[in-house]
Amino acid sequence: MAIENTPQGNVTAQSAAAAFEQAGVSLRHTNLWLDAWHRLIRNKLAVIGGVLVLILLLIAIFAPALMRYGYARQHLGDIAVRPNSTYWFGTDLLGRDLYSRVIYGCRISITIGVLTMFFATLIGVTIGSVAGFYGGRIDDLIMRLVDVWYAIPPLFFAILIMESLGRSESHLIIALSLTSWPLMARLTRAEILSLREKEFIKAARLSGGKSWQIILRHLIPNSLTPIIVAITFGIPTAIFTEATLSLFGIGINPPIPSWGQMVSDSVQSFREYWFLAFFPTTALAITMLSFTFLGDGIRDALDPRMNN
Amino acid sequence: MLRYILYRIVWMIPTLLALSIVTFVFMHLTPGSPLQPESANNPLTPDEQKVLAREFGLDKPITQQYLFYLRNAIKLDFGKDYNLKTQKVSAIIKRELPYSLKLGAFAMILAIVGGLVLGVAAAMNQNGPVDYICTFTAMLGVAMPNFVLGVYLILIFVIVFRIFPHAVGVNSPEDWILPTIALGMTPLATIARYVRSSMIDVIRSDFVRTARAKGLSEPRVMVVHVVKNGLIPPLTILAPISAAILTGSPAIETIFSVPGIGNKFVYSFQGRDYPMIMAVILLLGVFIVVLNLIVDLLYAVVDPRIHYS
Repeated sequence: MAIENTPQGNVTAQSAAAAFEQAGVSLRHTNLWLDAWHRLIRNKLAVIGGVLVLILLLIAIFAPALMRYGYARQHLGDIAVRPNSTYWFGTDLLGRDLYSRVIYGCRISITIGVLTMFFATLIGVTIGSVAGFYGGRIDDLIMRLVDVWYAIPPLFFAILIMESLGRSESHLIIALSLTSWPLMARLTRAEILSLREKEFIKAARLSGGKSWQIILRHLIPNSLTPIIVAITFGIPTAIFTEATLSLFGIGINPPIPSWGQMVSDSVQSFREYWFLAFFPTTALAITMLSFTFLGDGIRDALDPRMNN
Repeated sequence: MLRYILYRIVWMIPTLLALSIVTFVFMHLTPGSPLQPESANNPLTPDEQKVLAREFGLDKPITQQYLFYLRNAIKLDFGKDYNLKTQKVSAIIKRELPYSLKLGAFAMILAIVGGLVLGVAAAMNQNGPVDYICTFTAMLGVAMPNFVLGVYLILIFVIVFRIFPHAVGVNSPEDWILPTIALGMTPLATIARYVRSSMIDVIRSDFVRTARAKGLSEPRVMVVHVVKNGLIPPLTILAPISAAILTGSPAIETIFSVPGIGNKFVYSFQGRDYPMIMAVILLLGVFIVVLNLIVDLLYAVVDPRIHYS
């Protein structure tokens, strides 16, 4: 069907659509997120990672129901028992069921990872958008601070804070958030700097938008891409740092199980009781890998320059 | 260029001073520190606390304590260790630093050589099987924490396959192999990724196309143009990589029972061993600053476009 002549002009919407349909081009509504989703689905590793992350989240949420014996209950007659039908992962040196501890440890790790990134994003995006939007002296000052803070090795900073404030889960989250926010601030600022001069921002200003409105409603939603990727990679980093801290005994206190703490307990008796180390280590490995695969997939899917 | 080097060296001093001040202040502010002898939880009587304070010079104003500390630090005398009460901190460090340095150096060499090989192989074979293997290995290395890898290495090579007789201590040369791999895998993976992406960029660039169009043989193109240019950007991550190795060593040293500084450092924190902590942090600061300077200079030497004033 050729393009018809109409009184309004040569081409109408319907005739154009019909011509496109005939040529085989799809005109379905789509946007950045839908495109990214389709690309993500096609990436097998990312899908595996995503499914695993979902499973981990479910385990974390339903941990109390999934445990068999409770993470603190000591079965004093069954110390360091090999995995069997009663104790699926075996018991540790205090007679506690390893399976229950690993399951609850999942809840602890996921909670810490998610909450850390939540606060880090809150702080980082706020500071970064202020720096990026207002520019000038404020930007200089803030970025100096960010650079210095970014240079501190996260592990040492976290150790310092944990030792000063005392060891508890909330202090750990504070410590980890304080080490993660500079990255979020940098990413936000970079995006906002490049978006600031675009026409739609000028249009927003001209139609009377106040600064904070422009930041909240226009700039931040359009800067989400690198922030999402950073969050997806930040969660395993936070979990890793917590595990390392617990390995040193500075993280989560017993009897609350943390995978790092469980590995630390197992170091002395590797040869005799391999299962003490194997299960928490594997749990950590699976968690980190799945978040990393998912993060890689999200990053590749959201990057419009990738040519697949 | 020489002026720039001098400028950077001179700038090291205020940086380290600032680091020492921050550490000093933090240690004094921490509740329960032995540097606050007059605290409420102290089991000693107030009179005994005063005597103790006078002996360690803790009753003087804090600025004077700091100057005292600084003067001694320059003489490399950091006082006596709080945990092992008869040993001087500098003696402990002198005994343990070589192990950490060895481990770090081995891990660094493994990371650089392995990362280069993996990255170049992956780039030359882009999207092929070699690339897939290398990329996957890199992804594993980046995703797993170093002590997780260490535990797996021990489980596989010591317990299951019994290739190495024991996993603790570093008495014989072969004991270094597993800790080095554990510490160096993640940096290796990071370097491999960077090298691969930078090499791919170079391979696709115009001047390589020109070289091929000119009729140069593929090996010559690769070596003379691609490799030389492709290895410049990864130099920039050498500094964060070395910092990562430095901060990653405590975990590895703990798992493999390497008698190095990283091992001691963590326990110093738990035992509030302040002389040790401050000495190690200063040492770490010196290392990081010097390494950064070396890497920056290396970058300037290798890339003729860079010119420091």
